[in-house]
This record gives sequence, structure tokens and C-alpha cells, in this order.
Amino acid sequence: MGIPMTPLEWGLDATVALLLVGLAGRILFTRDLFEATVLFIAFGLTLSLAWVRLGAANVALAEAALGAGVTGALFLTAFHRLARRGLAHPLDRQRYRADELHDRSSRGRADRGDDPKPALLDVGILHGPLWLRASMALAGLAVTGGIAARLLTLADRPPSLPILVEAHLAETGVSNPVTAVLLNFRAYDTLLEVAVLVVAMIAVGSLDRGSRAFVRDPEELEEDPVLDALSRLVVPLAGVAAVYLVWVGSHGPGGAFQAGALLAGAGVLLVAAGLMGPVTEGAAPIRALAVMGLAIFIAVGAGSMPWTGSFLAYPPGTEYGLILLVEAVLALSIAVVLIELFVDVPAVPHVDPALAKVDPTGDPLGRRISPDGAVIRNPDEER
Amino acid sequence: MSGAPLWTTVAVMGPLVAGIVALAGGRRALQSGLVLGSASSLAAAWGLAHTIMDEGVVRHLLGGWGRPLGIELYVDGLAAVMISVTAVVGSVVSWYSSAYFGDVADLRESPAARGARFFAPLWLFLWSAMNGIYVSGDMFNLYVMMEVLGLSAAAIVTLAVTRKATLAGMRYLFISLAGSMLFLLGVALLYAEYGTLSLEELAAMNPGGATAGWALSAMTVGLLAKTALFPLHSWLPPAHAGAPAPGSAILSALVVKASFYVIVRLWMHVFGYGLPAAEAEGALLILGTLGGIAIIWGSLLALRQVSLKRLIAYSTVAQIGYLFVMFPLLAELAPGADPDAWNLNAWNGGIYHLIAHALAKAAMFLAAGSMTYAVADDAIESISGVAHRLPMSFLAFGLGGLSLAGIPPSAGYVSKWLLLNAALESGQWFWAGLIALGGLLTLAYVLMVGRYAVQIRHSPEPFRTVPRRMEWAAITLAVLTVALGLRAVEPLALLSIGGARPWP
Repeated sequence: MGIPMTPLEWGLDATVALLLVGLAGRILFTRDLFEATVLFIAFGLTLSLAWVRLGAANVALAEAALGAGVTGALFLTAFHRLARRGLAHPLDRQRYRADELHDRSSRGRADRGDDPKPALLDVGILHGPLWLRASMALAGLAVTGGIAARLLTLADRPPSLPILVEAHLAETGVSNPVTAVLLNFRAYDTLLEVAVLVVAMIAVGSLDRGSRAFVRDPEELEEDPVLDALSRLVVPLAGVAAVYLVWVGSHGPGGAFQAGALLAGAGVLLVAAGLMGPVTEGAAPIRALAVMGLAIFIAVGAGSMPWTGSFLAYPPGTEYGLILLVEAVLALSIAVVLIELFVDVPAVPHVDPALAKVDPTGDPLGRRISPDGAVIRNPDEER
Repeated sequence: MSGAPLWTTVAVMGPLVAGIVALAGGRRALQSGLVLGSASSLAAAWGLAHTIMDEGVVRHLLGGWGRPLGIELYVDGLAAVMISVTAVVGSVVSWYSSAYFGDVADLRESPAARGARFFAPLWLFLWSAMNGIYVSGDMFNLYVMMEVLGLSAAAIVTLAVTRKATLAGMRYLFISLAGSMLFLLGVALLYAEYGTLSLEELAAMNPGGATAGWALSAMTVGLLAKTALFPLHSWLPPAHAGAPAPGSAILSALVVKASFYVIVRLWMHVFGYGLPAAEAEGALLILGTLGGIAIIWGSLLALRQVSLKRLIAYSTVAQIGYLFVMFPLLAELAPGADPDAWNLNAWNGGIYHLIAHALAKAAMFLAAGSMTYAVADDAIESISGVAHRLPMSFLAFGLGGLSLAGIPPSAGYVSKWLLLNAALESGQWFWAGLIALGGLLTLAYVLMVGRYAVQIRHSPEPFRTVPRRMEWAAITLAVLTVALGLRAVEPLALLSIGGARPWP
């Protein structure tokens, strides 16, 4: 902290820090899912401001695009699905769970104990009994306090790795130290991170029980000219910005993840506005695009082994070109994977269209929740 | 190019490329992906075993950088043993899965078909992550590998289309992510204190003191949750029993061992615990005690189960306990032994138990998959008569179970004998009694299943025809457990490379 801060900077930092704590508290304690979702997006944007103040522009970009943007879009979709099934309000969810418990206990012996109990994870720690909340809070405080105490007493060693990175930066082919770490020094980790994204896409795709999360009603869309005009304006800009981010990544803040997230945002907007149909499942070109980044990354890493003797070592002189190639395909694949995650959010359980017409809160077990909150076991019986 | 860079790359990238093929290539490519994944893993296991037998411990400097700037891969006897066990069990399970999920070319868009469609790519990514963990010499890289592992393992549970499996899979995912966060917290603390992510560099700095203690505690709790050691085991039975049969075999036999392996690496090699008079003796005793409770508690609950797959899953909870009983035994040396090494019998016995359990549990889950498929029910009562109809599957289940109980000749007998020796030569009678009691309880629940299986069938329902390949796969693993009981020299020789002592 060599540079003294002006009062304005102090005020800005204090505001950002207070906002973060306040938003986090509100998100944790609100029972309104929609409020929590919207505040989560605000939290992500504030956090990216904090990263900018800490001088980590790369992290700020990633936080804004992935933490606030893509995650926020996924949360909104999840909320939308819950709302469509009449489960947006916490009391509705509680009633739904109680009813499920009743169903379970009345079933036969062979099922005994087969279901994971709807314990902490289902209900949420904050809605559990008081003794539990109190002891969790105490345990959390103890751990946080202990770790904070350790952080304050850390050995005052000069950080050796950043110095080493600077010393070897010239050999990496790029001048942005973050890109040098991600695509050269620790390219192996980045390769596996991309594999995590692909696994997430397979996992979400495998949950899909045959209905699409995000298919908008054409009639509804015609009444939404703002979204239409906005996306026609924003999407081309996002495309240009993504190309710029990939290119600038070699010498400044930017890179494949940020560019991919930006492209994904554009794609999500297109799908939401109905300008791009949801990618049909099983389409081979889409799957190929999604894994192309990973495949080319591996091919580059393994292909140079005969010359360099180790995996992911770029032959001297080719570093810049190969890193740019890998970044470009990664950006494209990351975008495709993120868009797939968004449009593939599964409809578990499947809502029967016939039932949904009678009552939008119909659920797969054939029960309905009537407006006064009572659970109707079987719509046919009621009639 | 020498052996180490080539074979470590094949071990991790082989299954990954196979997963990409299985995902991008459409339905026809599923089989090719499984064959490619199995072939590359077996080749890598063979290649690494030979390389380290010739050259001793080997390293692969990724990107040519070397530590601490780059990531190093590190292969010693333990890593080679883990990769070999994973390769053998994984290949047999892959073979089984191709029959279990039916003729993949014929799939329609039914919910069950999704399992068939997505099992191969998820499993191959999971395989790559396990091999990646075994060769990793870098803390942050271990975290990344565990992310691939946790996500794909939870997704495999949800491939069984039932609602129960979906819930169990979600719960597994939450536990696994919480464990990863704790691990990452420990990595951050260690990096802040020591300025390196390399395991070998960290070991060379003799980590100790409060910060290292907090970091190791956080990492260990996270890893114990992933390994499902008592009392953090409650996610395991619904997840392992709910998954489709090949998935159950992989999760129970292999996946829980990956996080156990990381615990061993950290405690034994990096932090150098397990030597006499180390300050961590109390901590080792806690791990051993939890393991002891797990043996008794898991076995008693297994005896109370009415569902076959849940019984086998609780058996895993119990058998994980044996892996942790190894820890307190390591520090107690026989008179005249090398004071800079661990108790060799405890070390060999613990790791041999890991091998024995991997083979036996995979055989049991695969056989159970065949039996429950034949009677279309998971209840133990309903498998009556299955021993007459599916003698090979019944034999595979029985051999696996007897190996776990420690009946000779079997791999389980060798491991229990070594652990008993370790307990007796250092005069720890308590652990010896516990090991023996656990064996008796195991025998009880295996015989309980056997009793139903050999009964005359009461139900008028006809048996469903089980593909032969499923039966052959289970018996292959069962025969291997017996073979490793007769011939323990080679695996133990491989394990000894790198030595039963902390890293310098």
C-alpha cells in the first residue's frame, strides 16, 4: 500500500465494502426468492467494482460476466420455473415438502429410509430450529475468527511466485501475466477447468427429461418490441467486443473466459428475444462446437510433445500464435457451453401440458395445489 | 521422449479424449469411447508401472517449467498402484456398462435412454479426473481435478431416472462442493504462508505451526466428507445405492478412494505424520477411532437393510473405516524397525485393503446389478432362487463378500492379515480385536444375502434374461480378488517404490 489514498477513494472503497456486506446479508435473510435473485446480480456487479479497486481488472471482467451475468440468468430461469409451478413463495414450498413427507411415510417397507431426509439442505439452514441456527452461527464465527487470526499473523515473506512470473514473462509469448499463467505456466489447470464446464453441460443435459426450460410463447414475444430492438442493437456489439477481448488478452485484461461469457450473454439475449431458436438437442454440430475448444487445447498440448518433451509446452517461437488460437476456440466453446446450460435447464419434474392448462401449478405426481393452499390429491377425483 | 511424460499424459488425456469422442461422436461413438478410455488407461498403468520400476519415482514438468512456476506431475509406487487398480476395475465396469445400458444404437428418446446416452462421457471424464488426482503434485491442480470428479460423479447418480436418485445426486453434489470449498480454503492458507502450490516444495519446508494446522484441518474435513468417513457418511448410501449399477460400482469401488488418496498424500507424505513421536499422534488416533466406529456402525446398519444395493452401500461405509484404522497403526513400530519409516505392515495392509475393496465392491455391485435386473426388484427378499438361475453372479457376489470378510485366499485376507500383524507387533490389542470383529459382521451380512439367494423361488414372476457379458464382468473381478490373495508380491513391490516414509 505504498500510494496514499485520497478521501474520495476512501469513500468509494468504504461504500463498496458496506454495500457488499449489506447485500450479502439481505440475500441470506430474505425469504423472497425473486428479491434474493435480483440482489445476487447486484452483489456480483458490486463485487466486480471491488475487484477493479483492488487492481484486478481480469477478475472484475470475469465476475461481471460470469458471476453476475450468466449465474444471474440461470437463477432467474430457475425462479421462473418455480413460479410457474406455484412454488415461488416459501410457504408454498414448505407445504409441498410436508405433503411429500406424508407421501413417503405412507409407502411400503421396502422404501424405508430410501429417500434422503429433507434435512438442512432442503429446508435451508436459516429456516431450521433456533438451537441449530445458533450453533451453526457460533461454529461459523469460530472458524472465521480462527482463520482471520491466522491471516493477520501470516509470515511476512515476500511473495516469490509473482516475481518468478515477471522474470519468465518474456518466454511465454504474451505480455499479460494473467494470460501467461492461464495459458502457459498453468495451462494444465485451465484445460481441466474447461473440462469442468463441459461436464456441467453434460450433467445438465442428462437431467433434461424432455421439456425445454426456455421456450417463449410467440404471442408473448410480439408484445415485447423493446427486447427485440435491444437485442438487435446489443448482440453485434457484444460480438465485436468478444473478438477484441480475445485479441487484447495477450497484453491486457481480457481472454477466452471473458469473451466467451460475453458471447454467451449475447446468445442468451437472442434466445430470450426469440430471435434464435433453442438449440435442438442431439444436434451434432452444437456438441462438436462445445468440445472443440477442449479438443484443440489437448491437440496443441500433445502435438508439440515430440519437440518439447513435455505436455503443454509450446515450441519456442510459436507461443503467441498457439495461445491466440487456443484462446479463440476456447471463447467460442465456452460461449456454446454457457448458452446450452441456459437453454437446457431441465424441467424436473416434467409438467404435463394438459394439467398445466387446467392449473399452472399442476405437478407430475398428479396433484394440484388449489388457490387456498390445500393440496388436491388427484384432479380426476376432484371432478 | 522418456516414459514419464508420455504415460502420465496418456493416463489423464486418454480418458478425456475418449470422453470427448463419446460426447461429440453421437451414439455410435459411445462404444468406441469406452474402448479408447479403457485401452489408454490400461496402457498408461502398464507404462507407468514399468517406468517407475526402472527409474524409481518420476516427474513430468508440464509446459517444461517445473515447480513452483509450473505444475509438476509426480508418480511413485502409490500413484502407480492407484492408476492400475482404477484401470482394471474401470475397464471391466466399462465392459459391463455396454451390456447394462443395452444396444446403444437402438436408443430412443426415452428417459432411460438418457442414462445410456450420457453414462459413457460422464464416466470417461470422471476416469480422467481420478488419474489426474493420482499423478498430481500440485495443490491447486488437485482442487481442479476434484471439481471434475465431484461434478461427474454426482451426475452419474442422477442418471438413474428415479426421483430418489435425483435427490441423492443433488445432495452428493452439495456435500462434494462444500468439501471442495474447505479444501480450497486450506490451499489458500498454505499458499499465503509458504508461497508455493507444489506438494514437494511444501513438504521440503516442513510445514508446521498454527496456520498449517488450520489449513490441514480444513482440507481434511473437506476430504473426509468426500470420502464419507463416519460421521460424514450419510450422503453415501442413497447416492451409491440409487445410481445405475455400473455407476454404483465406480462410485463405491473407486471414487471415494480418490479423496482418501489425497488425505494419505497430505498427512503421510507432505506433512510427514505417521512417524513415532510426531506431534500429530492424537490426530492420527482420532482418524483411527472414527474409522473404528465406521466399521461397527456401517456393518450393523448393513445388517438392517431390506434393499440389496443399500446393504452393499452400507458395507462401503464400514470398509472405508478400515482404511482409516491404518493411520494410528502407522506410527507404532515393531522393535528394531527403521525409525524414519512407517510401520510397513500397516502401510501395506491399508493400501492393500484399498485394492481389495475396490475389486470386491465392484464385483458385488456388478453382480447385484445383474441379480436385481433378473428379478426386477431391489429388495433382498425378492432375490430368492437367483443363485440357481445366475450362479456366476451369485458366485461373484459371494467371493467379493468373503474377501471383504477376510476369508482366505483373497486380497481381503492379505490386507486384514497385514493390518492384524501391524496391530499385534506393536501390542495394540484393541485394534486387532476391532479388525476381527468387523470381519465377523461382514461375514454375517454377506451370508444373509446368500441365504435368500439360495432359497427356492416363491414368486411366480419369471426371471428376466441377463446379458452374459454382465455375468462375466462380475466374475472377472471376483477371480481377480482371489488371484491377488494368492499373489501379493508384485503389487506390494510396486507400492514400495518411493518408500514408506515422508517426503524429504
